[in-house]
Amino acid sequence: MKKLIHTQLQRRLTSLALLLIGCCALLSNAAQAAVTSATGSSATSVLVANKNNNFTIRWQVTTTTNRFSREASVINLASPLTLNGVITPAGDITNESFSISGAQVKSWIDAGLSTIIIRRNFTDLSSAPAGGINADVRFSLSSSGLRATRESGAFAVQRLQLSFSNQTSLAVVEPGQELFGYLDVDFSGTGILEGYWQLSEPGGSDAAPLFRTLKLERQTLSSLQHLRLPSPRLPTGKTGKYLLRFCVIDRNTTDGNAFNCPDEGKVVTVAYQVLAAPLGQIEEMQLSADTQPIGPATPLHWSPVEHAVVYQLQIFQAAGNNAPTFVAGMLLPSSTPGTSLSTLVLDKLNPHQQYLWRINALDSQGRVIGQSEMTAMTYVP
Amino acid sequence: MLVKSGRLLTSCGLLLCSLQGHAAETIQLAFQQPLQDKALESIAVEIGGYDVTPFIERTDDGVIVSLDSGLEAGTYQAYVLAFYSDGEIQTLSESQVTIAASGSSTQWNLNSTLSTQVRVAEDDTTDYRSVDHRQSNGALSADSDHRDGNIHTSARLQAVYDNLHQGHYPDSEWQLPEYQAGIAHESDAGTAGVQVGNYAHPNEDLLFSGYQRRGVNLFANNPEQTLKASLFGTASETTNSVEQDLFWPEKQNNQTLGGTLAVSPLTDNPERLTLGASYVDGKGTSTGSGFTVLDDESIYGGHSWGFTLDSIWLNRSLWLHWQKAQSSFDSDGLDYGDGALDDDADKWLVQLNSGPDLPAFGVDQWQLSAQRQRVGEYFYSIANLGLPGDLDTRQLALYANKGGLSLNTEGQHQQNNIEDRADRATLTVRYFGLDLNYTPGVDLQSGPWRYIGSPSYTTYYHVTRNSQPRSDVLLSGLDVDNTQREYSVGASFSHERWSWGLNYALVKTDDRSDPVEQNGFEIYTPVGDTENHLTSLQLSWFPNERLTLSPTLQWNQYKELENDNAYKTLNAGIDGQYAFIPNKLLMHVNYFYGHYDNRYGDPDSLDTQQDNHTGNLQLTWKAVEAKRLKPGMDWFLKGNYGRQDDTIDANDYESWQVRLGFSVYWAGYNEG
Repeated sequence: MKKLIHTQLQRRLTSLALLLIGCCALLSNAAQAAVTSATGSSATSVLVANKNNNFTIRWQVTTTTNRFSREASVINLASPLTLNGVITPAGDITNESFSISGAQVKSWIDAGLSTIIIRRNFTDLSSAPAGGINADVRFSLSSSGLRATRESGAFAVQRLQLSFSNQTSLAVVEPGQELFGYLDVDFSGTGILEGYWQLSEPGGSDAAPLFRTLKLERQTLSSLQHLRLPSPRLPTGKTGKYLLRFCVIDRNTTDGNAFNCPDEGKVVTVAYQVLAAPLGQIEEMQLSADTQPIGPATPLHWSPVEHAVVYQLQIFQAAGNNAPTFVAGMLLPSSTPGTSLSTLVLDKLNPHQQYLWRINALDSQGRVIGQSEMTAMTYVP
Repeated sequence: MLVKSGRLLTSCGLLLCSLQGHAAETIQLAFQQPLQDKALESIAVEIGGYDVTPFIERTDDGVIVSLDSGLEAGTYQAYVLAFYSDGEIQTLSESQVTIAASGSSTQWNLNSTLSTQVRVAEDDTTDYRSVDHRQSNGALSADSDHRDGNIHTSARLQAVYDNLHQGHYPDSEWQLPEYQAGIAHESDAGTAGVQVGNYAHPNEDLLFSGYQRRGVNLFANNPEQTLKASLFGTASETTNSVEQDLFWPEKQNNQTLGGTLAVSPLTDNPERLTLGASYVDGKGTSTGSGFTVLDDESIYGGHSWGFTLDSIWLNRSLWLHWQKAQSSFDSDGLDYGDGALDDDADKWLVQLNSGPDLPAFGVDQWQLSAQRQRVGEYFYSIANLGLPGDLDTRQLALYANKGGLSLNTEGQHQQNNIEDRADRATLTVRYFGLDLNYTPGVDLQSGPWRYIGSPSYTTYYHVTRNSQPRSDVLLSGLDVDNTQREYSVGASFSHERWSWGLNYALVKTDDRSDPVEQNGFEIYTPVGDTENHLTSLQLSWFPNERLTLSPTLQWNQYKELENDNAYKTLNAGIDGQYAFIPNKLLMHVNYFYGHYDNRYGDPDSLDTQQDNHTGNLQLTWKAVEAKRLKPGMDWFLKGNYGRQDDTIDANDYESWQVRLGFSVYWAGYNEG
């Protein structure tokens, strides 16, 4: 009986000891695995074969102790290629420079690769056993930056252009003038374009510009390689310089903190200057019709302009790629508050076709002192 | 969209050409035919396409037209028509009238502003040591137009000064974003001239798109515009420099030469056939001011040429367009790799629209277009480097409207790898979109419209399918098989004292792609299904002449359903203007808040949030009002505040500054 109890007790103690040893081992490994997350991102998404590729990878490593990585290497080759050696980042974020020659990129392309992955494995001790957390950054390969939109399959923005309606990158406008920016994006692959329109206002654009977000864009790319986006209407109420920028957010390559505008590569900035006073030479007029479409008896109205002696109604039509050509018009005395289209004008209009029209106010010298926007109208008899 | 941009630009050109009028003119038109002996309803007169009937006075044998203004100098066809009660229209007179040019005329205008300000207070945390506390910033916009007989000279200029160079490229105090000087000879035989400065090429086609550069342009056309020619030489890159490339690009690797010719040989009906030819040859990088490119060093170059044919029939209801282009272009960088490679591109378009010769099918107006564009892998033009290539695009679009309802529907099929290369992945995109807009006519004096304003409603459904053969995954490094569906509804209301709009959009992506492995490593990881909700609200309220308030709100939530990641964005703000003393003491104030929230399904990934606050306040005192040739002067006090709080502390900041300064401004134009 005593022997049986002793044996049972021994077995139980052995089990308990094994359990305790297992727990200690487990706790020990948990202490060594203090790196909790690691990611990498780069403003460069394409490596080209026609020049040296100098770029930076931003590593973000979260840990409870310290950080260590033995090497950065291209891993998806037949034999991994080491690019850089040991780093021991001091803080959460560290930037590392890389340089890959065009000849190297060409050799990868010739080997049939279209994508490479640069990986760093982060642990917290240099002598840690195998483990740690991998941070991977993917790069597409292309023979040149210009060809990348056509060669590369992965979604990546290759080229950004920001301009105003006069196709310049710096506009001078009058206060209250309507102004839009236009973003032309050349990209490879397909996906969703995400980014922010941001603006810095006069005063806030000096020294260290303070930007605010005008609008978030999330555009499904329904066409390949090129997209044009208009900005929201831009404020022109205050005198001074505004800075307008578009920041592309690429969630596949960011460290997750996608709010901040990237420093380079995926941001484009332009400026516009608002003058203090309008020229006042041409007053903005409003031309309206009581009904749409326009019929033979549809009353037309416009806002009166002081000092006008003649109102000039103009109707244009675009055909093919040609600029809109003048079709017909009416000259009306300044005492006329409105009219309907005359028989002479109606005779020149084709039913069920679209035209462009506007009203001008002319002074005694024949100068235009008031003008409405050119808007579309359809004529239906 | 590009065609519309081109039309907008030409419309602007039309606008400028139409600014000239003429002083008082009296024209006598005698009847060439006697009036018929029956009830006459009215007599109408047309000169140069304008109905000038309100300005006529009957005489015994004709009419006198007394025009105070309205017609430019030139020769016009004039008609006098009699409208009888029985419906008959008789041409009483058909002649040519000439409105003489009044010797020489000059028009000019100029608008300029110069602001100087000093930073009088600032926060302690931002490093301003490298930034001058004083800032001067200004701009000048001027243009002039002079006509003397057949000679027409014109000039325009926009210049910007900023001692801190903010947003300037190249980095200098002065910028010259736009300037041009031109001289032309205009006669009955046609127009010929030369322009120096910013040159905007009017074409939007395979060779040219949004092409505006500095250089020289020679042009000529006949009066009927049935023969147009131009020769140009420009810098290949955009620039705002005041020192370089003002009239001719200094570097050979930044030069582009080209020319266009358009002929409409059928004089009786010029629109029936228009033939065009274009040529462009140049070298340059793919960058410049306003550009961000990954490679701004490589220089590309080559020459491209093309032919176009346009034909319009059926009273402008049928438009046929065909373009063929070829290029010999080095697209991997000069002195490297392949050298210049030859390739071609072509485009055809058929467009039908309602009119006298085609039925309306019960709607007010409709338009149907079909087009196909095929661009070879190595086809490039130095004047259109962003042209999508190695791509075959087919598109069918229909537009119709009736009353306040308009419908826009479009289908598009795109496929790359047009030569079907075995070493290239083939990507296919199919798109269908349906957009509806409805603007009902309402009585703004009654019903709910009195309070909420005149309504306009929009809704759309878009679906895009992207696919790639599974066998091509290693060629492209990824798998593509997804469908994106977009749904949106919106409403906007416009009132005398306010306008507001509300819009909601949902985008759902169904991702059917699989991971891709290469050499034992996963080189592509599917994102999985996603959902995006976007809500936006915009309001403008102007209760009286003094006050304007404009709040805005945009809320977005993006979810990656596979890994349970969710990204939320909120942008909200309010912008206001108040005139304490109208036209004397004004206040601009705004505040904007942005909240960004990333939450990850993986517990090992850190959730991140960021809050942004920006505020601007400006008080302006109009000390001296600008009047005619007398300059004006404003004093202002500006304050700006910005703060960012981030879960990653390295991105936190708080910054503010107060500036005191004045603006001197002068705007004028000739009045004689």
